Amino acid sequence: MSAPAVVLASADAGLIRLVSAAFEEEAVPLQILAEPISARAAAVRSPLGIGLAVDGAELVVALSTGTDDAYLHGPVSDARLLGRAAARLAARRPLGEFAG
Amino acid sequence: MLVAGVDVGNATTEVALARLVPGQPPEHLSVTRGPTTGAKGTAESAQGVLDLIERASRRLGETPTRILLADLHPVETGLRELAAESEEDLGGVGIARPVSATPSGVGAAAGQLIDLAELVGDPLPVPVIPIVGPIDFDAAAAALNAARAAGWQLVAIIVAGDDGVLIGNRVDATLPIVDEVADTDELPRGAWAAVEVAPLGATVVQLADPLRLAVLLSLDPTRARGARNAARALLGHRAGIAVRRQASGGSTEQEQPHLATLTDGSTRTIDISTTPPGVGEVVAIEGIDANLIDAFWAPLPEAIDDAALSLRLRQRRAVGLAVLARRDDRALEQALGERFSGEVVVVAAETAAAVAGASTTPGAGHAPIVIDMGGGTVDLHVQLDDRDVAIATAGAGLLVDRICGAILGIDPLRAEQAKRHPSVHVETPFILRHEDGSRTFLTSPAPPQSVAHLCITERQDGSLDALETDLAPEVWARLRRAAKRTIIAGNLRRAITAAGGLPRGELAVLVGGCAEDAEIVSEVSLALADLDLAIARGDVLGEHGPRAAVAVGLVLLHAETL
Repeated sequence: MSAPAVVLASADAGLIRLVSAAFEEEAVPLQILAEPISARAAAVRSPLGIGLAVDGAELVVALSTGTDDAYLHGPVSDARLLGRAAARLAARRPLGEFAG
Repeated sequence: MLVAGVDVGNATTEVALARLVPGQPPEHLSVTRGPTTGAKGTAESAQGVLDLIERASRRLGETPTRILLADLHPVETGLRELAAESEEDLGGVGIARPVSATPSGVGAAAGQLIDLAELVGDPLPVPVIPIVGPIDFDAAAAALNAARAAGWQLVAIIVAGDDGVLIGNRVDATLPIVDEVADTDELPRGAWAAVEVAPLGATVVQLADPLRLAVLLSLDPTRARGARNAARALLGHRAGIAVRRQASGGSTEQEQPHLATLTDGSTRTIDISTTPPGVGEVVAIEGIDANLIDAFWAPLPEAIDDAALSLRLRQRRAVGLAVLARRDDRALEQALGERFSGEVVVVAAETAAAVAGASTTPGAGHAPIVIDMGGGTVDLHVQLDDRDVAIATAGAGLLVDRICGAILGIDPLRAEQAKRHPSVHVETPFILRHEDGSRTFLTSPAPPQSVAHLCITERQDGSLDALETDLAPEVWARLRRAAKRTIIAGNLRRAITAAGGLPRGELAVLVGGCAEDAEIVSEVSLALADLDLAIARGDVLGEHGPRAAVAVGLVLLHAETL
């Protein structure tokens, strides 16, 4: 696993479609792991150090270093916007909505 | 006797408390500083003075019996931003500059605007530009592909959501597609329009060229010249939309020029292409009812080496205007006299006080030239054998705040912080890039809202104030310095000219709030290099920096009279 990609840990087809769309729009590679791991664990598996996973009713974006806390999080229904923020984080663009 | 030397500035009020015993040097006890309440010299400004005196007295456990004031000509300074963001006559061409960070495809094309839902039945015989509202990208792509298969000529696409690349990948990745277009509802269906997406890292070329724009929109040559403003408005943008409108039959309403009347009776327009005349030469400005002493104006600075940015700044036609007006009342003295339990004494002229205060800078000896750079005015005080003059010029720190605020799109209070503190660009949650190109690695991540933004490093705790501007830190730093140079150093030049020049080799001491800003000090030193002066920053009493020169000077002058 050396290709630069953000890792999404999920087996939910609807969620995967929304997050994948966000990454495609930003032209940032996304890798899907159908494993029940935390966003932090997904980030550690990501060569870019950014991971996403669902925690309860929230979609969490975590970094592999620096902090154990969620870097971004919000309701799963906002998966497209959170995915976009995660992709932009990887691409070093302003994150837009869901930066708070 | 406990006295309070008081200096009320446009932005800051300063109070110097001291104990005076006849025949002995003054015992300086404290310098207190706070924002000026109300306009300088008004009855409202007395409140700030009394609050500061009370605060200092409480700390000391004793109240002064005498307030010492400078005999100043009370002045008013005002600031106006003229014609900011004015609507220009776009010559019958409507434009949109989408914020889209990720448009799709590349190139320019023209066609008839049509709603996605109308792409049914027999295709129109002309190229079309479908407008995709807020619907799912897969559904939109399916409808667009079906239309293409039916013979519709799609030459570009306008998308409301952030779906440009998604739709491009499913329809045609070479088609210019602009997305994140606000108010797609307002685009006139059936009108002829042109869309352009520039390659990554570039800006629109065809829409920014008035003749190419006219050709794309099929404007006749007489209207092509009218398209120049629309073309200029699109310059510097990655993607753009231009729509042909019905000829308006005449230009839109003309902007009222602001006219300044000079001492010789001639007039000068106040706008981005004119420069202010010498100190005191403006006697009246249309729309300003005041007894003017001076007026100064400055446009947004130019971005050296970046024509597109310079044009973007110029297009706003913003001018910061500062005026200095004579007040006929003695409202501050009266208000202090009524509300202060002790005496209120006018001790000396402001120049004498500034010179006395600045002369307490260690190593200065006597400082015959004092340059007081404050919030509202740049004042030049000269006390030489042959001359004793004070020149006040309109426009200083507060005008720099206005100009900085206009560049960054923030209010003047936030701009005051942006003016004083260096900026950084947050490259990743862990890396900050500074104005000189150096980088800092953070051990804990920067907050998400700061990522990829220019931020002001304003707070004591090191937290960042993220700005919306897309300026790079080195570009912003140059614009900020240019604003300081134009306003502070420029006004100082005007003051020196009005004072009839300054003797070479003489010492000039910089005081006032702006003298705390190292960038202003270096800009002033550079701007005055040809005058061969010894320019030094004041350090009043060796401990207050360039602050409180007048307040301390009043105490010193009053002590001599006891």
